[in-house]
Amino acid sequence: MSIMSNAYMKMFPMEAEKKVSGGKRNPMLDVPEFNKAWNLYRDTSLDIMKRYEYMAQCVNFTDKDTEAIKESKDIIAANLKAILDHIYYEKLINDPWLSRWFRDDNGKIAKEYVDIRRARQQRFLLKILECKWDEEFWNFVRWVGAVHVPIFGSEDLYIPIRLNLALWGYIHQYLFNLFAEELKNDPEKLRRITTAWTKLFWIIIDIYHIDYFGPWM
Amino acid sequence: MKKPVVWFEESCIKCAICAEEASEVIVFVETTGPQIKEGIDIIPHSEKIKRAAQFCPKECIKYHL
Ligand code: HEM
Ligand code: SF4
Repeated sequence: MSIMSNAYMKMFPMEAEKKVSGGKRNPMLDVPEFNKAWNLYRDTSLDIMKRYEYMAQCVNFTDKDTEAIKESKDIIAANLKAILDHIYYEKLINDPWLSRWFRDDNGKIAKEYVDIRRARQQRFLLKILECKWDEEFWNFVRWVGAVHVPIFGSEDLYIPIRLNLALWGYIHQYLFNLFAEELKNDPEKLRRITTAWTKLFWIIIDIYHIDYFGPWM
Repeated sequence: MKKPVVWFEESCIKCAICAEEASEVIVFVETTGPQIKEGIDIIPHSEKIKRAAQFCPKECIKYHL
């Protein structure tokens, strides 16, 4: 053995063990509980509705939450322009990293392009507010995520995942502050609405990132 | 009854969202912006056109349907 392969074996001792042939059946699948989990893994990887349903039951997103999101529509609709203006004309274009995608070749903010991005974000929010959690909606969420990686459509675009999370987190807290302000006098409604949106955000963030990862995520 | 018609006002920012939402009736031309497909009967697509108008960020899709 060479010095290099010796060092490698020390680092990864499992590599030195006898290999099991690739076609060998995983004995775990003989245990019904593991079989169930495997089926869930496989189904939620292949079928976006199953993925949504599984995530929804995990975070306990129910019809009551959908009702609460609908209850919040008026607040969002009344503030929609302000929310989008804030995200696009303050947050995104002033951040030293996020703004990189909104500049022209000379480094200046490309105003017309920012307007178009804002319009597309508005459509996304409006579609969420329709509260139709069907296959068309979830495929749309998946597609919006997919356009941020060089996988479909914009082959030269790659938005690092931490920036997505940063922006989702920012939008999340911005909306919650808005709800808190508007519902100062109705803490029970505030609880319903923020709970529902928290659950929905996590489910959306999962589906949005499907194409960032292999199916094992 | 007025003749059914759809038009796009000047405030259009050429985001192409309408053409995506109602691709059966609206096409997006890179140089000029959105337009109704030539020779198409728009009435059967009324709902789609109204939906596209709902998503238009400038509220510049106008219609008599
Ligand atoms: C909260 C997370 C995000 C959401 C909800 C979101 C939403 C969207 C939407 C709705 C679209 C357009 C899809 C369509 O064509 O309708 C889009 C595209 C795009 N997003 Fe995001 N985005 C997010 C994060 C980011 C971040 C962090 C950046 C970079 C700073 C970014 C940059 C872009 C760019 C450059 C495109 C354009 C692709 C093109 O020009 O075709 N997005 N995004
Ligand atoms: S959605 Fe409105 S702003 Fe966008 S291209 Fe169509 S008409 Fe113009």
